[in-house]
Amino acid sequence: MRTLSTAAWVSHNLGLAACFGGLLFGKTALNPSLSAIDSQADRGKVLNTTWNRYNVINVASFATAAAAWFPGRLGLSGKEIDRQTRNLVLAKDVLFGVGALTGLASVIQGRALAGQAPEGAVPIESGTTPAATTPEKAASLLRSVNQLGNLNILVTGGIVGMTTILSMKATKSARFGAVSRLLP
Amino acid sequence: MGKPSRAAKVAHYLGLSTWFGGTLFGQVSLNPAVSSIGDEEERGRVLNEAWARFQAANLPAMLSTLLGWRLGGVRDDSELRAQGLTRAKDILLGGAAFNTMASALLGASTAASSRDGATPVRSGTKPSPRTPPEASLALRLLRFTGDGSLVLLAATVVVSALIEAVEPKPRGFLSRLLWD
Repeated sequence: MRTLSTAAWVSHNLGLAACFGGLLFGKTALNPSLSAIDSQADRGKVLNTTWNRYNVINVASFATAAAAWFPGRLGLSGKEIDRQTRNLVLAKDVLFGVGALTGLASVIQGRALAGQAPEGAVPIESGTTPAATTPEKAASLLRSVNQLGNLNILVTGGIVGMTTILSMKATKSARFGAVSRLLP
Repeated sequence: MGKPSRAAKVAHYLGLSTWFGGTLFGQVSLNPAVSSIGDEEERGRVLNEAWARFQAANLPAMLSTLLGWRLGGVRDDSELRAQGLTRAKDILLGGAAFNTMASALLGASTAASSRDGATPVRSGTKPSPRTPPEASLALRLLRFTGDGSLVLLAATVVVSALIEAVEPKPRGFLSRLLWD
């Protein structure tokens, strides 16, 4: 077993799984559940505390996955297998780029949203819907954080799927197998 | 031995990612963050509602992970690569499924001890002095099953990647012919 490339593979997959599943929990479970809290300001406080706490893990996980992907991908471009694999590799590059941009933008917007009130206690209806009392700037930040988050889930899920397909293609290729034996 | 279908393998890994990452978010982010809510009963209500909603997504994710592994050919493919790691993944997946189901039952029992799931708690896994005794016990057990799920799922992701990093070794002449 090639130690360095195997370690990179493990950290790549752990990072992607942490990102994808975490985003999905936040979107499908946390955000709609906040309306169970009576105080709209407390809803904002819990939303911001929870997401900002997870964003530290999310950014580190995505960065780890990207850091594991790009150096290996410079050595093995997918051409070793076939044209379709080469295109999948390029598509995965694009998804990583879009994921990094939307993820960072979402974190920055999330921090700005938390900064709209002391302790992040911005009044909201739920994690996706502003309340009638939400200030206009905070409402617009909440909407943009949600749109960026939705895009980020799709992109991260796409990367997980593409990683699996690329792994299956690599397994079938004798040429890839020969070249990959030279990996550290 | 059959090769895994592309759809089965993608479903297996998407399911595993949802299962692991979602559990991670809930354990390290939501559970401690609810202590910022002033009212202890509201903490319980939000926790119970959020975890129940997640179970609705997590149960299909867990099923697609397990079905992809056992019936979708992912396990057969793994056996050709690394038999020991395949057995380790069997045990890890079984343990994670057991802990997840136990956590779901304990969570439901905590929620059932008060109206609308509004069981007073200090945080996601810590009871408060006002928590009913049976819910206190369930919360303490939840700490073990929740942490257990997380550790077992992280190990499953690691072992899965280790298996993928090994090249398949078809056994026997006929297997080699069928593989290519």
